[in-house]
Amino acid sequence: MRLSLAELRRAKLRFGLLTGAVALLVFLILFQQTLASALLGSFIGGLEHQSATVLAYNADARRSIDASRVTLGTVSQVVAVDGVAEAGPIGEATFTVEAGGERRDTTVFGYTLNGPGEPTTLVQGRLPAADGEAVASSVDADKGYGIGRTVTVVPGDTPLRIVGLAKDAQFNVQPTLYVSFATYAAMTKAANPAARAVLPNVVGVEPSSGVEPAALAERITKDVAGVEALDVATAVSSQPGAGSIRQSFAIILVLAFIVVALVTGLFFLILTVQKQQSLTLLRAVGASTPYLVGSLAVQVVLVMAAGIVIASGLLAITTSGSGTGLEVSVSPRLILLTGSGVLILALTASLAAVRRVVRIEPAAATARMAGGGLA
Amino acid sequence: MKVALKELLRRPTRFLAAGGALTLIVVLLLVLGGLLDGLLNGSTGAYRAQSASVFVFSSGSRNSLPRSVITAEQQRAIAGVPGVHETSGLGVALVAAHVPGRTEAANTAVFGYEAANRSVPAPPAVGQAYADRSLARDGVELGTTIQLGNARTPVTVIGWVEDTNYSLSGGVWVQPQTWREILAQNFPDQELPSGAFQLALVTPQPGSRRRRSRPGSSGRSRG
Repeated sequence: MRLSLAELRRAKLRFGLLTGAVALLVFLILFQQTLASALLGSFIGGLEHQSATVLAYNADARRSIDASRVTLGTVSQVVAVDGVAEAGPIGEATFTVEAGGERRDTTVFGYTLNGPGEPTTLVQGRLPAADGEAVASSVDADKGYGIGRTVTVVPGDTPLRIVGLAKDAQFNVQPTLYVSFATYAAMTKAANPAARAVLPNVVGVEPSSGVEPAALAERITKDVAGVEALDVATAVSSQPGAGSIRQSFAIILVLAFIVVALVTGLFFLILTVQKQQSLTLLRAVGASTPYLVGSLAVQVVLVMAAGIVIASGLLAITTSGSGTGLEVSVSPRLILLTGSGVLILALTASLAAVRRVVRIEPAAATARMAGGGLA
Repeated sequence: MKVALKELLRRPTRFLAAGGALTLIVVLLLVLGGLLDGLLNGSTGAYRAQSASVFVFSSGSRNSLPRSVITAEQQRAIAGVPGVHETSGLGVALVAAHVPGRTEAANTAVFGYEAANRSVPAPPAVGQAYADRSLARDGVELGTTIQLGNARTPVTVIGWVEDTNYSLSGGVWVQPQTWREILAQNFPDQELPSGAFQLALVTPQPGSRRRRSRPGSSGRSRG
């Protein structure tokens, strides 16, 4: 420990630069994961945090709620399936909404009040009790979607009064509103008077007590023609785009982890090669191999720990100042897991340097002229 | 140079790790760049394909193609704006395409259009379509009859076009009437008034400036 600390003190710049590089790489990994999680949350949160545990899509919609339309006849057929406690229409579309003096793209979910499809993460206010009332995604409260405010859907000028706020309720990464299905249908008609009919996008289903959502989804798909029913977890993960986002971020993450391991391993290997003569001399005067390996490991742990702490600080600063409109937050669990992963990788990558230390032959000190040997 | 190469040849393993790290960093950057390009190109091909330099959306649509409605009357008014040389209509419907011999449907953006553009020839006959070449990955070939949407509207692919995708879906270019039918059959809430499109494409007269046009619609120059 003393040896490693003494060396860190002596070569502050060298270790400072490595710590800085590690901090930036760990920050990249942490920020990337935080962003991916926030992006996915804002992309699918609205669908994930509603009360229907089974969603029945049009079989041709390829599990996309935007592309799906089901008839009211289909809703009745789903209600009749054994194991269904409650089922109702859920509509979803993007509208232009004027809120806080600005026009914004806004996702609107329409559902039967007190039925499947209502938001489950209400943090303030109440659920809509009548037509013309809405619950908004809480992250957008300061954009004109706060409780008591009235927003207007254009064209059509349909007013909606915000009566509640729900957490993690954004959908398609935009402000999201939950209203009654009748309000949703009226908004759609007002925005496009030529619309022949306003059909629900999906059927929201609540299973009877003791019935598993996945099993019920299978039964609905089998019993109702032209429908593909999914439990909400599957529906959320199969929402078009969600898989690609997850996969793309995973590739970047794996590459970033490998780079951290290589940079750390390479640095300590070069350092060991550079100080081979000193290490040989230390071995010759009685320093044991475990002592030298221990010193190396302590240095790796200290550099990585400092890097992780700096990266966490950078993450906190960046997320607090992010004006992305996403619900971005620092997760201590993420820092702990990523930090542990990076540390284990760095220690593993330092095995090449450890191997060099282990292979040092103390007698070689006598063959080095620079070390006072007789070569 | 000779010394550098000799050292590299004598100690290849020493340089391997550093080379590996640098390669991975480059791969990381390339993956990010490729991802961005793929997303952008797959979403905007249909817009970039247009030879018109001004796009007119309805004012409440926030320049969203599926939310925009340009009525026949508005299109006539746009055509009458001084400096307008030519206008034509464009509309889209995002539907599944069923390809013979394939169990998995393909994601397609079916465009109804009135005039040829940079990438797509003049509208084909009813029942025919030009398809983006990227749909070949889904089993589409020249002469294949694909079925579009819930109503399984059949169209036969008579030619390939390049880089015309929209919203990460393969572009399929058909007669306006076919597109209107597909829109009405699959999305009755998006059905448009007779003669309406979602977008008016405007070619200005040479030398005229591109500015915002009529109330009720919003003009955007390509950029």
